[in-house]
Amino acid sequence: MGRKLKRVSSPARHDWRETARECGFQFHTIEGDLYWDESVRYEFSLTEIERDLEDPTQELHGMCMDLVDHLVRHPEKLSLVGIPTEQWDFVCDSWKRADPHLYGRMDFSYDGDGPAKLLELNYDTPTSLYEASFFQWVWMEQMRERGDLPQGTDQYNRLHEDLLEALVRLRALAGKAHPEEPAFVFTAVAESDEDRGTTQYIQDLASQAGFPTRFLDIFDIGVDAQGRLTDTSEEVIQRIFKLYPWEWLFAEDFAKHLATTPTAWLEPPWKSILSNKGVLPLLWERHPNHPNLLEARFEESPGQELPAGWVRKPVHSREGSNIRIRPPRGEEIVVDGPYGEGPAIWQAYHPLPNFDGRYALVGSWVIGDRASGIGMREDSTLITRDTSRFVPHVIV
Amino acid sequence: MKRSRVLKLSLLGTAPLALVACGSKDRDLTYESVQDCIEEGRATPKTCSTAFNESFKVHYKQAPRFYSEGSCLTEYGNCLRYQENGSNFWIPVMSGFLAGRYVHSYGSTRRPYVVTNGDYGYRPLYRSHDDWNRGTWSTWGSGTGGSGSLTTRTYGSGRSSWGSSSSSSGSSGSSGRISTSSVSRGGFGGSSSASGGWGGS
Repeated sequence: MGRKLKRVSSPARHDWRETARECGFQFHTIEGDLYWDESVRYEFSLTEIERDLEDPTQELHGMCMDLVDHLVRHPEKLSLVGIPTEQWDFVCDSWKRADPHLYGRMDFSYDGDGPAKLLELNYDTPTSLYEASFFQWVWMEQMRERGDLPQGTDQYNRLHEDLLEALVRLRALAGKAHPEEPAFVFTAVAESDEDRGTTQYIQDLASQAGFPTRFLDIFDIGVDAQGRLTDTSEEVIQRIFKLYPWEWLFAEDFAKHLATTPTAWLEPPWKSILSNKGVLPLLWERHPNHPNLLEARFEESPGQELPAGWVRKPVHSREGSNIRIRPPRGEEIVVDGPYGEGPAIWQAYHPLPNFDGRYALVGSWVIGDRASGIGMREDSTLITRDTSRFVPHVIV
Repeated sequence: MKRSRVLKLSLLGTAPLALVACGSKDRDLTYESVQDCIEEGRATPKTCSTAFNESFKVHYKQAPRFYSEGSCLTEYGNCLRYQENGSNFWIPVMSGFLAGRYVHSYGSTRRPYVVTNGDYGYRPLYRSHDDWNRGTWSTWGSGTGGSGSLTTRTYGSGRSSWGSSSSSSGSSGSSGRISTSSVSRGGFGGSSSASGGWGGS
């Protein structure tokens, strides 16, 4: 059977750069290379979207939530997913009191023929949100308006609405707004355009949902004598959104104050369980041969020889760094990076589909607890990195 | 439809989708009646009546649903019974409608737009007791709904950190600001420089 999912060339809007500027999309070009690429688009059928991506995403999300629940009941297993012992209570308490969460992204290998295979989860600091949720949507609306796409064209993308809805629910949980309410602090590494942009987008939605908000560079977070985190106006941070990985927070100087600060976190601490590759073998163990999972196991010892047909990923790694691929035949592919230390997992080799020389990855979003939409990334190599291009999609 | 119906950003701005009027009043076009809408003059009479009719058409589908009249009345002043597939629901009456959205763009240009067009602009509006106090409206977007069931938990069912903090008091559930003095800063962020300054994945 031939594949059905199509990659077709698409006329770029003549004014897309201007539109990007007006929309506040500043990172469409990264280090001189195009990041947003609308000269091509992916075309899905509704069946491919619903049967092959939306439903599996919803199901896998349920499996992930079950897994968190299981691990919280068996905290001794938390070391498998790299949570330091001193943070176990912090993480488990957050799940037990049902701290709400906002979003996550699953990365799939999918070519329109056969089930989508889960490569990994980004459930703590998923990026490429704004371009998927907002700019991709504006692209399609403009293309339709200008007659470059048929009127009936659709897109699997409820991200914006679902994000707002999730934040409105959070607002309801936080009680009535009042003038003396502490700000909902948004933090990230301010000098990163991409992180800053993504954070600003969510901050915008939070203020629409009725929260007083402010941005704080992560380096500016302080602590008072009682071990409470503070902002630059010398107020205790009571609500915070962070686009910064839990595993990093756990390793830094202020980690010892996490237990004492009365701060509500987004994403909540329990998301640290799902933000690493250790989840993959645990999911396989609980659901062996699930059509959307790839076989995975923990590496037994650090120097162990990687057999052909397997991919090695450190439990904590990001942006495709420190990955080793041993295809069944041919040469090994190694990507260097800063995350080489620590335990690793092996995952069965399942290459990304190649369309016209480009390897495509489907990022499938969960907002609140709902499968909400997708964003396509593509790269000239088998490994999707932070600079891999974002390409829009449509449902035809 | 599998996509969002409305995109609105208050800080980032958005692209002009259907530009009909550049109002100086920086608010959405919300009205209680077609008459109010026409009198204000920011939208054409035709837009006003279309917006009302289209909003009313989707009112029954989009209104928040309650399983009892009592629970509806705890949030809204006026509720009516609505039957669908043999089940009874209570929904609030439609108290107004949205004829257009005010959007201002971000950055140096700062050009405001009013967007009025079916997908983006028209919606039924409701007023809860809170809305009356604040002078706001509520609207509900339900999306078309995916297939399959949702795996949901009831968030905040425990002592959620969102509901109240250590110092909270009163019935509002929200806590006040707490002033303090910092003894140290810069204890977070270090890993980003060690790995090249990028947090996302």
